[in-house]
Amino acid sequence: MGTVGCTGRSCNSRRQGNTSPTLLTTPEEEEEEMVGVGVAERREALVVCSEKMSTGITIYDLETGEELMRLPTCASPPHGLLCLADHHLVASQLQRHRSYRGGAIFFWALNKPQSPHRSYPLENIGPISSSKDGIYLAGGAPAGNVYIWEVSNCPKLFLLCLTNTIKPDEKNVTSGKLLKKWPAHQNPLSCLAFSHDGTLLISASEDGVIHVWSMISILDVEDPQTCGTLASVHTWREHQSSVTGLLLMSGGCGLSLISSSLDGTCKVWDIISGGLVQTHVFSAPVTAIASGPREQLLFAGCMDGRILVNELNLGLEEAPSTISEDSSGFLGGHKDYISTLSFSPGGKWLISASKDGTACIWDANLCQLFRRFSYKKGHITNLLVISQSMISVTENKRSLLRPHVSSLDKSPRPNIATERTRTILPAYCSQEDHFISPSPGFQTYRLMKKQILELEREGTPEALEMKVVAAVENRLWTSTVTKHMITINKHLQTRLLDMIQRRLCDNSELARASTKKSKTKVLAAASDSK
Amino acid sequence: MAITDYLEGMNDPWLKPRLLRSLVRDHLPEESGPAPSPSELSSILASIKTHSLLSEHVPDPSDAKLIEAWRTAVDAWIERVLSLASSKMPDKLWVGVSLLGVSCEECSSARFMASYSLWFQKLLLSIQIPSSSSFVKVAVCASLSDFFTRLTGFSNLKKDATNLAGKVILLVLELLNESESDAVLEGVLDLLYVILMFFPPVHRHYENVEAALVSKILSAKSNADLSRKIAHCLALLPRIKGDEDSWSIMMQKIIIEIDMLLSNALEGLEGETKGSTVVRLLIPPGKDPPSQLGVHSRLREASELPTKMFHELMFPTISNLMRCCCLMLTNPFPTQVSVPVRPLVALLGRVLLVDGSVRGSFMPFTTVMHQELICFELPVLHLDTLDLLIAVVKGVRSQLLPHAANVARILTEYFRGATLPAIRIKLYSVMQLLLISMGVGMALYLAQELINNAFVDLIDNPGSNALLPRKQLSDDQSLPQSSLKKRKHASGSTRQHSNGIDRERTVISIKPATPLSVKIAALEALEALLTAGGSLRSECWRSDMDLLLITVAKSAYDVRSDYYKCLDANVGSTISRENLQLAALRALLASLLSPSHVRPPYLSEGLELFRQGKLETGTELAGFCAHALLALEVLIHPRALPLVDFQVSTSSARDEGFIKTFPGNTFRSSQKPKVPYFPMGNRGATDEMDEDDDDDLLNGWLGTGEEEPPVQGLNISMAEKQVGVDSARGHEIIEGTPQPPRKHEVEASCPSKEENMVESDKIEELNSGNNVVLGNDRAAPVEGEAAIHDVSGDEMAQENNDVIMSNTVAGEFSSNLGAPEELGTVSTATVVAVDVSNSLDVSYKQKEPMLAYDSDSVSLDSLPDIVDADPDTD
Repeated sequence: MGTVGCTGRSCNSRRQGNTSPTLLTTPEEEEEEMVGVGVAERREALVVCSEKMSTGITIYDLETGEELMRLPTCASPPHGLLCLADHHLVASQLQRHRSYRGGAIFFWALNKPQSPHRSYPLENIGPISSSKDGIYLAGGAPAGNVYIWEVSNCPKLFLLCLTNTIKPDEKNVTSGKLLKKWPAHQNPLSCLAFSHDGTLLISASEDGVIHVWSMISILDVEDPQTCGTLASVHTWREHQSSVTGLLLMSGGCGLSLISSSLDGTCKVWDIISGGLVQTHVFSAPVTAIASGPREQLLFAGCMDGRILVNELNLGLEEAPSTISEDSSGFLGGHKDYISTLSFSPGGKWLISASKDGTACIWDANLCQLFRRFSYKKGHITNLLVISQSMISVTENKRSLLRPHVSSLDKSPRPNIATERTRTILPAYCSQEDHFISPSPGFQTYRLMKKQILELEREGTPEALEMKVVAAVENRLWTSTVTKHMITINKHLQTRLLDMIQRRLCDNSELARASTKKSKTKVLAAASDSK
Repeated sequence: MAITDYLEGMNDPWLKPRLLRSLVRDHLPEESGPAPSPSELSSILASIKTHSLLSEHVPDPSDAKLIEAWRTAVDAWIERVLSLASSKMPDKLWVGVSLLGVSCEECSSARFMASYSLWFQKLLLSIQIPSSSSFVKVAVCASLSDFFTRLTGFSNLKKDATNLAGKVILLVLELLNESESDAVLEGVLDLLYVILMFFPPVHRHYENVEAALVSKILSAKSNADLSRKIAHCLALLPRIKGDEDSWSIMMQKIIIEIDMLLSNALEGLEGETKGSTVVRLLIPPGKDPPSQLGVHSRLREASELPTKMFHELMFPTISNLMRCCCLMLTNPFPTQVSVPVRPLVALLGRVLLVDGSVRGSFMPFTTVMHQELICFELPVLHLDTLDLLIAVVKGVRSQLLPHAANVARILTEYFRGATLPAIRIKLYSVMQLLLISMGVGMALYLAQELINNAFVDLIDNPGSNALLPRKQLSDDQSLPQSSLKKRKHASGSTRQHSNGIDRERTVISIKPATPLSVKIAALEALEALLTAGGSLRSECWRSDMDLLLITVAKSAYDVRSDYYKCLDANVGSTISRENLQLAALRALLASLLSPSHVRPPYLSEGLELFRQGKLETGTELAGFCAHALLALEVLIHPRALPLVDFQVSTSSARDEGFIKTFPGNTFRSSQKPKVPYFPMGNRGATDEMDEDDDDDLLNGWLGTGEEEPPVQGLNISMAEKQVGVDSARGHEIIEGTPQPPRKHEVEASCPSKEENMVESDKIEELNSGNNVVLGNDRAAPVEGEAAIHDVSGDEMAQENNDVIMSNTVAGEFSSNLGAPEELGTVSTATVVAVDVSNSLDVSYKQKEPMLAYDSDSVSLDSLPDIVDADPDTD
């Protein structure tokens, strides 16, 4: 079953997929991609991880199926793989082979994936989740404990490094501080999710209980409540069986949560008011759910390998309603239960993985199988879609950037009182821009205008001083000029007198009877020369 | 260039060299001539700026003559400016230096690169003249800072620039220590700011600069601008070293200093010694605190003065240090830093807890005068503290979470005692910031206190009987509202009468009116609350809040309301009725849109207000009202939209869609791979799917189709289609073609098909173009599987094209329809498709052999020449 239903094309690609580990495509398909893909930089990569330690994580190009990267040694439980703020892959590890209790969480920096960073928390960690900005990482243990670490101290660290706003510095380490550990559930945790604003944490366990926690009260440092008395914001016990997926939606009544369960239902909750909004009843246990960015369709992967599709009309119904399975169709292509469903960030592709070792890429708009490949290395437990630019860009700048990760703490730090918050200050803050006057930009022009005005009105002491100084200098200058003129005058006068005298003496013999005319002539000449 | 040539106009590039030449010739004095008058100078400045005479930016780079002419003109200008800048006359020196600064800003990059060091020397020399007046010094500082600002644009000169900055910093230090004039100090600090910001000089100056700044902090008690600049420079100081430690140490120093000053200032007014808490949180046990900044000790030294002076100096200093803290938190820093959030929060709590009342056993040490003085200064201190809180939130963002509960506790407690308008405004804005950044989680903490306070601030309408307590409000819900409404509607006839009543009421309800600015802040905070968590535990407050907001909005609208007029007069500020209106409408929109368990009760009234506001052309209000109406459109006409995903899938298959409505034919096999996987796949995949299921499904769809409001001109054909489909069911199950009826459903639910029809011509063409192409493909006698793949690949591409095409068209629709894009397009497409298919349907039923259909009725009928039309080219 399963493959029977797929079209010839998908069978074809699967057959080819059997012969090669990578996704194979026919030439036509590649052409088709060229039409559909558009800008190469916005390509997406598919990160796949299985439950076998030896196979590790494989990263494929979503469009071409080419294997981009392989990270050895990783085996994650369901919901155990995530991409932390676009710069790290984080995977909690299945610890079956280890005799002692204790878990493991591995970090791979996407720009330097060869050397993962390994942390070993006290307990085996199953599902993990991170807040949108990548600051907080939550992990759930089989005993029902939930851990919250502060893992990354800058949401945009990576970007800032790329744009050279922040020096890539060895000291830019993440703190790994264990902020809180508390017994959230009685049974093993199955799913964890953060709300979009990071202030609510939703945890679900294998007995079907869902808790909504307020991060603010959980992390409250001043008033550390004793572990037992921590109260959740909401508690829902409506599910009959293990919760297999949590999906946060913004649609409908504010913030909604969709939970899927092995009891064959998906329930839509209003996180804010705490009410049950809808129940989708399916004919088979639901093992994975996904919804596209437009949040209009609910894709529910079932135990029998079908992916059922229901409409999501959040906010239209007023009373809690029950919606039965939309029997109009399903995506069929898997033989065994769907282990995980994921959407590509743009919402174009839906990727499903099944226990039968195959993964399918569906065109989410057409609900058509786009490509199928078989992952021969075992049962895919997790898949992620990330932007390829996170990998390719860093290859160029690999030497530049080394975001480090420090180990996750095993227990809360003792001197929490003096603990600092390591952070990167925001690159731009609008505060007080308007009244802090060392304004960016050039000042002389403004200042000069101001000073001109001051000069004209003699408004300030500085302007007055300037005027006075200028006047004094002017007077000094005038007086020196005058003095100079006077000396020149004097000089000329003496010269003139000399000349007259000489002439008088010379001419006394020659022309004693000379007329006064010549005298006046000489005088005129002298004045001319002057 | 001949001067006699006429210009082509004001945009002629030749104008600029000529203008510059004449400026230099006529207005800029020679060394010997008299200095230009201020008015001459300002005209020089204006023409340089408006015509960018120094830019040497030639529109046509091949015009060598123009370039040469301009270059020489600028050369002459620079020469003249430089000669002025080396003049001994202070006024000419001033002109020269200032114009050099302007030239730094305005000249071309090449020129700056070529001559920057010369200019720098000139500026440096002119500031070193010992006797130069402060006026000139200020100008030189500004020019230097412009010089450095310009240098930032040249990354290749960075090393050089840092060298130059090192030279300047010495001068700056000298000026800082020596100058008495505030103006010079401001200029120097601006220069220091630029240098610290862009070219932090070498380490060895760090201590000196710090000492100089600290000493100035005390002296700058009266000049707020100056003290702000000092704080700013102090905050930037760690950039000199540029490492995490220096930032932390500076932060620690400042916090400790503030803490010490507070201990002194608030002596006797605090319950117990809180001071040690902050320091204990700041300095880990066993570590030495950093060396002191020295403000406190200097203050002590300086206060040989009476205690009064001591305190007068102290509070501005605390404010200054707090501001410095804020700036450190909000300015970028090249590396990661560790922010001592907890001590900061403790500090905040400590200050906000002091309300001026004498506490504890310190009574005897506190004189009445001391208390008076502190009570006088406390509001400013609190405002600064709240600013610090804002800075902390902005600085550490979501990493504040572990401390958020504490902050919320402090705030809510403080809110109860805060009465001063300025403080309330600040509190509201802090809450707004917190609510927006931390969303629901924060709303849980803040909602109750915020609502209580906002109600107190907002309820003093003339219509309602002043301060209605919250509980009461819900009881007389109808009272204020109905009275308002009545007044509104009766405005024409009984105007005088009602006005009289209003006046009386206003007079009666004399109470300390909340200033408009506080109301605005409260409304903004409520808006944030509604946005963040509107329905969070809202059963108790939501209906009251909705009523309150509509009431406030209405009364803000009421032009005749004397109440607000007199308020305006009272406040006498720039905050006008419009600001309040805008804030009220914003909050109202949030209340209408914010999720709630019932339909917004005041939707119609709100709409009326928005429509009315839209008429106030030219105001911000009108713009906002237009936006609000758009946003509310969804509420007025709730859209049960068909899923776009389904539509795209069916519409992309529309070209084969109407082929499939014909039962059994030879195309089946060739179409097979092209049929959308959903909902086809299941039928292929699971043989056990029985036909009854399909019947139900089909009937269900048909049923929904019938339930839809019938669309004129289509329902008849739909009925025909249903018959056709029913009869064809037996065959169709194999192919799983319930899509066509589904299309009807889709289309029938489209609210505005008629408009689509207008635009549909183009699509029709495209569709038929595709049809023809596809038809040809299908007609190809292909049976083998491998070959089918080829075909399917092509067709897939075409389908993609279709999708793309329809999206582009959708853009046109969405604007005039208000319907989502995909709906618009798809329905158009289906209109076309269905129309064709219907006509074909009938004709087809008459003639069973349908091979002819594809080529004849479609490809020939629908303009063969469109076959060439590539959908992509549209």
